[in-house]
Amino acid sequence: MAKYALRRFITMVVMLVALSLIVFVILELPPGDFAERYVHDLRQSGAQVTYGQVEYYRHMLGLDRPWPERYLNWATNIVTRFDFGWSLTYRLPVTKVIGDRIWFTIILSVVTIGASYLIAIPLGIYSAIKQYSTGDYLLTILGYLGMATPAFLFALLLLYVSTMYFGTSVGGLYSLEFQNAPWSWNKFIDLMRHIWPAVIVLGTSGAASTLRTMRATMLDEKNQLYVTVARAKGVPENKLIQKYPVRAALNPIVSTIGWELATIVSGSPITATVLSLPDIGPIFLKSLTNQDIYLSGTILLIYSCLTIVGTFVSDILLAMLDPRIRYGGIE
Amino acid sequence: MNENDLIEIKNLRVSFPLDEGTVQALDGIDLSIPKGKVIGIVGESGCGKSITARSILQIIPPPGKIDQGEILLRTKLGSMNDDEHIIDLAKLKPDSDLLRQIRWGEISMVFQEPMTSFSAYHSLGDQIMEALLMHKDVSKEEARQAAIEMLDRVGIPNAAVRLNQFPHEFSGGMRQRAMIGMALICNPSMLIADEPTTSLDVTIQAQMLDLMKDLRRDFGSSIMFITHNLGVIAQIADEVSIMYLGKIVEQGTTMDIFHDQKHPYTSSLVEAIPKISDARKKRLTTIRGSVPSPFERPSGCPFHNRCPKMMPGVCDVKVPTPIDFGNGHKAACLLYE
Ligand SMILES: Nc1ncnc2c1ncn2[C@@H]1O[C@H](COP(=O)(O)OP(=O)(O)O)[C@@H](O)[C@H]1O
Ligand SMILES: [Mg+2]
Repeated sequence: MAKYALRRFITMVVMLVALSLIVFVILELPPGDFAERYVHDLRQSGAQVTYGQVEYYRHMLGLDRPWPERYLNWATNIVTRFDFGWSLTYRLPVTKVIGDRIWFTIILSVVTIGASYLIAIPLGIYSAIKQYSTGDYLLTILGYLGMATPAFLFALLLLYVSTMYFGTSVGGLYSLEFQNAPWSWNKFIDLMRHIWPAVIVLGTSGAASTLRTMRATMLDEKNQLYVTVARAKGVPENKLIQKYPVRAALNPIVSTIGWELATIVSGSPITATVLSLPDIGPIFLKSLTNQDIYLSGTILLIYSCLTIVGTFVSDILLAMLDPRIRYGGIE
Repeated sequence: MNENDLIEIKNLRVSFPLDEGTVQALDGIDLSIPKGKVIGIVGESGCGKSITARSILQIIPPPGKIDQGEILLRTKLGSMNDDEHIIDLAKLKPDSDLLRQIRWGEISMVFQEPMTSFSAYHSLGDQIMEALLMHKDVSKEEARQAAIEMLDRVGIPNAAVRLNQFPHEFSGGMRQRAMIGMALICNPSMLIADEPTTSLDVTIQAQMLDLMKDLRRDFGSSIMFITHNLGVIAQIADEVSIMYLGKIVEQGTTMDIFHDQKHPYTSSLVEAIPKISDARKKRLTTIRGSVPSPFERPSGCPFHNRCPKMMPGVCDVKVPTPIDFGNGHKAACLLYE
C-alpha cells in the first residue's frame, strides 16, 4: 500500500510539472502580449504613446526573454519562494491578488463536495434498499431535477426566492464584522453560516448524480451472491448492507472524486458571479482578457492542481477500498 | 415428524410473481432429511433444486415467496430448556433472531459459483471468521485459529498465510474448498451443497467429491447434495430425490434409483449417464425435448409431453400422486395408478 501510494505520488508530481509547462505554453499561444495590450489601452484613454514604447515595456517586464527562460524563472520561484510572479494588471504579486479568494474557492469546493457526498450517499443507499417505495420515487424525481437544472439558474432562483420572500439576500459572504478580519476560527464559522446557498447551488447536480450512481450500483450489488451468502451466514441485515454492498458500491463514487472536484471548481466562477461571492473566478476571467499571464497561469495551475490532487486522493481511497488494486491484482 | 429426521418439508409451494406471469417454482414438495444422511437432489436445470435449498434458509431471491407449506427443523436453538424441539422455518420472520441463529449455526450452504460467493473486498479470513464470531462465543484469536485449522482441513496449503489473502488470489477450486470450510466452521447439523462442483474443472470436481466424502465421515452432518448429474450422486448419496418442474417425481435409496427406477423420467436420467462399457457402441441417449417454459406448465403429469410411455387421455389430464413402493421408495407416475 505504501509503495502504491508513493508510486501514485510521484506520478502526481510529474503530472503537475508537465501541467505547469502546458499551462504556460497555452498562455503564450495567443498573438500579442501584455505590453501591447497595455500600450493599446493607454492610447485608448488618450495618452500619447508611441509603439516604440511597447518595446520598452516589454523589456522592463522581462517579456522579451525567450519563453523557456521565463517559464523556468516562474517555476523556480514558485518552488523555492512560493512566489507565483507579478500580476501586471494589478501591479501586485500574484499571491496578494489571489490571497483570500483562493482559500475561499478551495473551502467552497471541499465543503460542497463533502456535503454532497454526505447527503447523496446515504440517500442513494436508502433508495436502492427501498426500491420502488414512495421514498425511492421521490428521490428519483429529485435526482433527475437536480441533474437537469443548471447551477446558475439555480442561483438566480435562490436569489429571487430569498429576496422576494425572506427579504434577505443570500449573496455576499461574511457578516460585516468579519468582512476584512484576518482568518480565524470565528471567521471560518461565520463563513460556514453564509456559504450554504453557494454549496447548494454548486453541489446539487453533483449530489444528484452521486445519488443516481449510488442507487444503481447498490441495486447491482445487493443481489450479488456474496450478499446472499452473508445473509445465509446470519449476519444482521443492517450490518450486512454496510459491510458488503455499500463497500462495493462506493468504488465508482470514490473513483470520480477528482473529476467531481474539477466540475465544482470550474462551475464556481459563474455561480460566484451570480451570488457575488469573493471567488477566484471573476479575477480569472479578467486576467485572461488582459493577457496577465502570471496571474491567469497561476489560477489555471491551481484549478488543475485541484483536479490532480483530487484524482490522487481518489486513487488512494480506491486502493484502501479495493484489495485488488492494493495488491496489484489489477493494473 | 420421524424421530430420525432433522428436517421435514411438507407441501412446500414457492412462486415468483413476475410481470410476465407467475412462475410456480415449487409445486408441493415433500422431503425428509434424516440425521447424518446424505440426500441427493437431482433434476435438470430450472426444476427448482436451488429454490428448495434456499427456501430452507429463507434466502429465496425476490420476488419469490413461500405460498404454502412447512419446513420443520429439529433443533435445540430457541428452546427454553435446551431440549430439542421442532420449529417451522417457513413461519419465522426473515430478520428474526432465531432464524439468524439457525442460518449457519444449524444449516449452512455451499453455492454453485465459488467465484462470486465471497466478497472481493474482504479477506477470506475475515469472511470465514465472521461466521464463527457470529454464532459462537469465541475470541477473535480463537476464531482465527479455528479458521486456519479449517482451511487446512479442506486442503488449502499454507493456511495461516492464505487466511489473510483476498478471493482474487484463489482459484475457483480453492475458493470452493474455502467455502466448504466456511460452511462447516460452526459445525452445523446440516450442510446444503448446491451443485458445488458444477462450475469447476472435471479433475477438480473429483477432488471436491473426495473432500465431501471425507468431511461427511468426520463431521457427521446431514448433507443435502444438489446436482443435475446423476453420476455424481451414486458416489455420495444415501437417498435420492428426483425433481421435475417443481415437483419430486421419485424418491428412494440410491440403490432403488439406479437399479429399480419406477418413473420414466428417472429411467431417462439413468440412461443418459455416460458409461465406459458402451462408449463406442452407441451415441449418448438424451431426454427427448426440453424443459417447458416456466409460464406454461403442462396439464396433468408435468412430464407427459416428453415421456416415452405417455398414455394419451390419461397423462395429459390427471395429476399423478406419489405411490409408495415400500421402504420409502415413492414415485408419482400414472403408469402405476
Ligand atoms: N430470481 C428468479 N426470478 C424469477 N424466477 C426464478 C428466479 N430464480 C428461480 N426462478 C424460477 O424458479 C425455477 C426453479 O429455479 P431453480 O431452483 O434455480 O432451478 P435449479 O433446479 O436449476 O436450481 C426456475 O425455472 C425459474 O423459473
Ligand atoms: Mg440451481
